[in-house]
Amino acid sequence: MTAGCQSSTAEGGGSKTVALSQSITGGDWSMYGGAEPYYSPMHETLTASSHDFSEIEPWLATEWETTDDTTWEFTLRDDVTFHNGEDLTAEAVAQSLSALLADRPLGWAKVTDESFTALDDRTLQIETVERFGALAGTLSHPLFGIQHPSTYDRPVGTGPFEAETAEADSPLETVRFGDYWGDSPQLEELTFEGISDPTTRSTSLQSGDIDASFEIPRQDYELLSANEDIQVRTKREPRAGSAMINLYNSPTDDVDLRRALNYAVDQQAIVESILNGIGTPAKGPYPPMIPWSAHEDLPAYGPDPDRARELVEQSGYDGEDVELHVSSDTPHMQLIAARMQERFAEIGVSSTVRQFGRGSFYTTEQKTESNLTLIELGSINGAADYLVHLQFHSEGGDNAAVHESKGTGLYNLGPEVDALIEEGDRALDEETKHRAYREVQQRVMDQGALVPIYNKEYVFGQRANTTGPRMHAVPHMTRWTGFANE
Amino acid sequence: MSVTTESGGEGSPGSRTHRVRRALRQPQTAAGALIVATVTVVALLGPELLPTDPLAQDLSSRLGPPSPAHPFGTDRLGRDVLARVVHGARFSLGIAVAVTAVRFVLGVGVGVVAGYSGGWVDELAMRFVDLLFAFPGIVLALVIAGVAGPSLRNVLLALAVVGWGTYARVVRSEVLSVRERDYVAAARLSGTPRHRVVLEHVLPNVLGPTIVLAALDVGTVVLATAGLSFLGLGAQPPTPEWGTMIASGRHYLQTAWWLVNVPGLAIVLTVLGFTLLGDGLRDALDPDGRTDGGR
Amino acid sequence: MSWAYIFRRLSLTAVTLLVVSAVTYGLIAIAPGDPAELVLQKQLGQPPTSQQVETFRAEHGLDDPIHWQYLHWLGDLLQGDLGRSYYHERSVSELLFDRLPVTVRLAAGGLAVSLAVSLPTGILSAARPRGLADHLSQAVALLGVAMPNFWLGYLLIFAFSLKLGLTPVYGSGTLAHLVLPSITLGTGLAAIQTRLLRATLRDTLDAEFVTAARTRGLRERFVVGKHALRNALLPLLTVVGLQLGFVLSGAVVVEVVFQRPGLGTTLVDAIFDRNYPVVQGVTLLAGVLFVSVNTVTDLAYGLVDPRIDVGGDPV
Repeated sequence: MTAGCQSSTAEGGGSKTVALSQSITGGDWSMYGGAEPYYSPMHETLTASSHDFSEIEPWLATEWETTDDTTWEFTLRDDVTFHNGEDLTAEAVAQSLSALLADRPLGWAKVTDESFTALDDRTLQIETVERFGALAGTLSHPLFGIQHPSTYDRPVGTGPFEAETAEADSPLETVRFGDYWGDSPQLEELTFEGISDPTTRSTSLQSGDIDASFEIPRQDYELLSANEDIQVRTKREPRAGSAMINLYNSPTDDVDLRRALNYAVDQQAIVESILNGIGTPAKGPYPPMIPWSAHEDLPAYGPDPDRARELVEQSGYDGEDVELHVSSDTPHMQLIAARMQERFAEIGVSSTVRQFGRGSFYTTEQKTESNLTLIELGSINGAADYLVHLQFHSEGGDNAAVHESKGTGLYNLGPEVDALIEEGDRALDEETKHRAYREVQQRVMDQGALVPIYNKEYVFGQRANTTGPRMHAVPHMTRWTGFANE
Repeated sequence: MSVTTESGGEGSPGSRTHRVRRALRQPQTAAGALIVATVTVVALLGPELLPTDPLAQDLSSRLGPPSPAHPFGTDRLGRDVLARVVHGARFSLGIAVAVTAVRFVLGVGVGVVAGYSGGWVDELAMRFVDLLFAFPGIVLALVIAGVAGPSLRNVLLALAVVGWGTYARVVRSEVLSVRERDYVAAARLSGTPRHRVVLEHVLPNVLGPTIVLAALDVGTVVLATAGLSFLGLGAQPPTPEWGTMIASGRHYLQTAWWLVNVPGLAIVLTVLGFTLLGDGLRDALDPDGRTDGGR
Repeated sequence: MSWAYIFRRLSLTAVTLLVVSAVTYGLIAIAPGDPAELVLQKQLGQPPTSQQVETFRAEHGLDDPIHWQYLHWLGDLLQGDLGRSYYHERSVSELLFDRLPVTVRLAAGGLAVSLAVSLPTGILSAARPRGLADHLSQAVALLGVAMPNFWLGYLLIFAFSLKLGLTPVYGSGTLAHLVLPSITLGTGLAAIQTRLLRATLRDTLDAEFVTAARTRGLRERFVVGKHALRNALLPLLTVVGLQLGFVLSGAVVVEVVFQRPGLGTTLVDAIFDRNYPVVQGVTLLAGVLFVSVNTVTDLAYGLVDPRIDVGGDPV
C-alpha cells in the first residue's frame, strides 16, 4: 500500500497507514470494542486537551460547572451520533462510563462506577470521590472514550472514523464516518499498524510501506529529514525522563549523596548527544508545558563536579555501589545510564547498571532494590495532576506497597509533602493547586529525590505527499481529520 | 604401537598425529587453524596489547566513521569500536569455548559410560539423550535464558544444557566400535581394572571425532549466543559481546554501518575459522564419518 | 519395523512432551517478575494498585503452588483446552492457530530456497570435484554457515527493500512478503545441505556400482543423475528432517527481523511478558511438531532403505 496511488479529489479520499510501536488491538480493550483508545480515531471524550496542552477544551461536552464540592454537571452536545446510528445522550454516556469503571477502577480519576447520573438528555451529573479540581482535564484521558454501551463486540464510538472489526493483533482498519459531528476527515480509509521494531518503522517509512509513523528513532531523524520523500516533525510532550532515587535504600538514603549525584550529571550533553538534540534538558520532574510545573523557577544543579565531590565527602560515602536500573526496552536510557555511571565515577561514586527485561522491570521488588531507576513518565491526560500523587505521595504508585508493608516507601518525602499533595489534588481553584504543587517540586529537588534528565519531544515521520495531522502535545490524542493527501 | 587389521590404521594414535599434521598442511585447514589461532590470541592477549579503553566515552566524537584515531569508528557513546571488538572476543569466544567444553565433558562422560557399560545403563542413558534430541533446543534455550534473566551466564547454562546430546551419541558410537577391538579385549583379559582400560585405551581412541565435533560446535555456539543476544536474552550492554553489539547497533545500520558490520565480520571470521579447521580435521580424526551430518 | 518400535516411539514422545512442559512451567514460574503487575501496567498505562494485582493473581490462580498450577494446566490440556492468554483473555489455541501458518509458510519458503540452491550446487560440485563450481559452492556454503542470519536479514532489507524497492520491508500476507525472509532462512539451510550433499554424493560416486555403470559406457549425466541421486536421497532426507531444529531456531530470529507474526515472535513476546499460558502452548506445539517430523523422517528413512534396522540402536 504505497502512497500516491489514490488521487485526491475535492472531497478528499485515499487510504493511509500509520505505524505505532505496538498493535492497537493487542491487549485487553474489550471495553472499547477491542481496540485501544490511544491514538485511535474512533472514540471521543467529553473534554479535550488543546494541542499545546495549555487548556481543556469542550468536546463532546460543551460546558461544565461544579454545583458543590464534589458534584459536577456536564452539558453535552446535541448533534452527535454514534457509529451505530444512535444519538449521544447523557444516559448513554452514564452507562458507558459506569460500565468502564466497573470493569476497570481508575483510582486516580476520583470517580467510581456510581458517579455518573443522567439528569436529562443533555445533562450528565458526576460525583467525585473527594474534592477534585482536575476532573474536567481528567475526562480528556483517552481511557474515558465513550463506547456505546449496547455492544462491546466492536468499537462503536463517536469519532470521525469507524471500524468494522477490531481483531486482536491485526492492523486496525477504519473508514470515514459519514455522520461525524465535526469536520469531515479527508481520508476514506485509515489503518493503524503495530511495528515493534524501531528500525523497521523507519525503513518501512522510507520504502513507502507505511505512510506515517510515531516513535521514529531519534538517530534516524537526520537521515529521514534529508530524504526528499519524507518529512519529520518533533513536538514537545508533557513527559520527562528522570532517574527516580530511592530515598530509603542505602547509599542513596543520604541527602548529601543524592545532591552530589545531581551535581554530577550533565543533562545538556546527554540531550545533545544521546538524544540527538531531540528534547530539552530538564531541571525538575515536570516539563514546563504542564501549567503548574515549577520548572522555570527551579535552579539547575549542574554540572558541577567540584561541588559534587565536596558533597560526596560530606556525606561520608563509604564506597557502596549505587545501583542504576534500566529497562532493556529503552536503548536510550541504557546509554544515559552508562553516561551517568561514568560521571559518577568521576566524582568518586561507584555504581552498577542493571538491565531488566520487560517482565521484571516494573515490579515492586526491582524498585526496592534499586537506587536510581531510569523511567520516562508523563501525562496522557489533559490534567497531569495525578503524576504528583503517583510519584511522591506515600500512597501513590510504587510507594504504596512498600509504605504499607514497611512504613517507608520509595520516593515519598514524608507526611508534610503528602499533605501538600493532597492540598493540591483537592483544590478547586488553580492558584491553590499551583502553589501546593510548586512547593512539592521545590522540596523534591532540594531533597534530591530524583535526577531530572530530559523533557521529551517525540518524533513523527510521514511521507512527503501527505499533509497533517496537527501534532498534539500528547501523541495519543492526535486528531486524524486533518490527515490527507497533499 | 598396536596393530590392527582395519584400514586406515585408526587404532593407533601415532599415525593419527601424522594424519593431523598432514591435514594441517592443506590450505583450507591451515587457513582455518590460522584464523582460530589469531582469534584466540586476540581474546587472550588483545586487551593487554591494545591500550584503548573500550568503556571510555567521548560524547563529542560519537558515531564517528572509521578514521586514523578510531580504525573501526566509534559507537553511540563515543567508545572505540576496535577496542570493543577486541575485548568482545573474550566474551564471544570465551562463552563459545565454555559451552563447548561443558557439552564435551558431559557428552563424553555419558557416552563413554553408556557405550562401555552396555546393558540397562546404556539404555537409560540413550533414552535420556533421545529425550534431549526429541525437543527443539532453541525453544528450551529461549525459555531458560529468557526466564532466568538476560545474562551471559544464563546463555551459557541454556546452550550447554541443551546441546550435549550429539557428543554423547558420537562418543557412544565410537566406544561401541572400539570396545570390541583386539587391544581393548587384550587389556581386559589381562586383568586391567576397568577404569584404566577406559582411560588408557578407550578414551584416546574415541576423542578423535569428538574433537572434530567440538571444533565445528564452537562456531555454532558463537552464532547461537549472538542470536540470543539479538533477541535481548544474552549479554547486555555495555558488555562488548559481538552479538550484543550487533543487536544494539542494528538501529544504526543506515547511519553508522560500522557498528554492525565490524562485529558481524568478527563473528563470520571466527565461525569460518573453526568450521574450516573442523572440516580439515575430520578426514584425519573421523574416518568413519560420524560427524558428517549424520545422526 | 515393528509395532513395538512404533509404540516405543509414541510413548517416548509423550514422556518427552510431559517432561519438557513441566520443566518449562517450572522455569517460568520461578522467574522474577509478576505477570499480574506487568499485564496490568500495560493495560492501565501506569502501575496497578495492590488490590488490582491481588485480583488478577486470584483470577488466574497465580497464588497456587507451582506444581498445582502445572497440574491444573495439564488437566485442562487433556480436555483439549490450552488456556487463555493473560492479554485479552484470548484462547491460546486460537492464537496458535492464527500464528502457525505464518511460521509454516516461512519454513516452507526457506526449505524451498535452500533446496533450489543446494541440490544443483551439490550435484554439480560432486560431479566435477575440485572444479570451479565445486570451489565456489564450498566457499558460498561456508559463508552461509558462518553468517548470523539477522545480520543477513537486515542487509537484504536495505538492499532490496530500501534501495531497490522490490519487496516490502516487514510483515506477512503476500508472496512478496515471503521472499526476503525465505532467502534469509534458506541461506543457512542451503549451506548445511550443500556441504552434506557434496560429501555424500562424492562418496556415492566413488562407490563400485557407479564405476561399473560408468565402464558400461553410460553417459556421465545419466550415471550421476539416476544412481547417485537416489542414494543421496537418504541422507538428504535425514538432514532435512534434522534441520527442523535449525529451521525453528532460525525462524524465531527471522520472524523478529521481518516482523512476521508467527510462532517465533509469539514465543519471544510471551516469554518477556511472562505470559505463561502462551509460553506453555507454543512450547508444546513446537515439541509436537518437532517430534512428529522426526518420527516421520525416521519412518521414511526406514522405508526408503529397508536395509536399515530402524528399530535398533544407531551404531
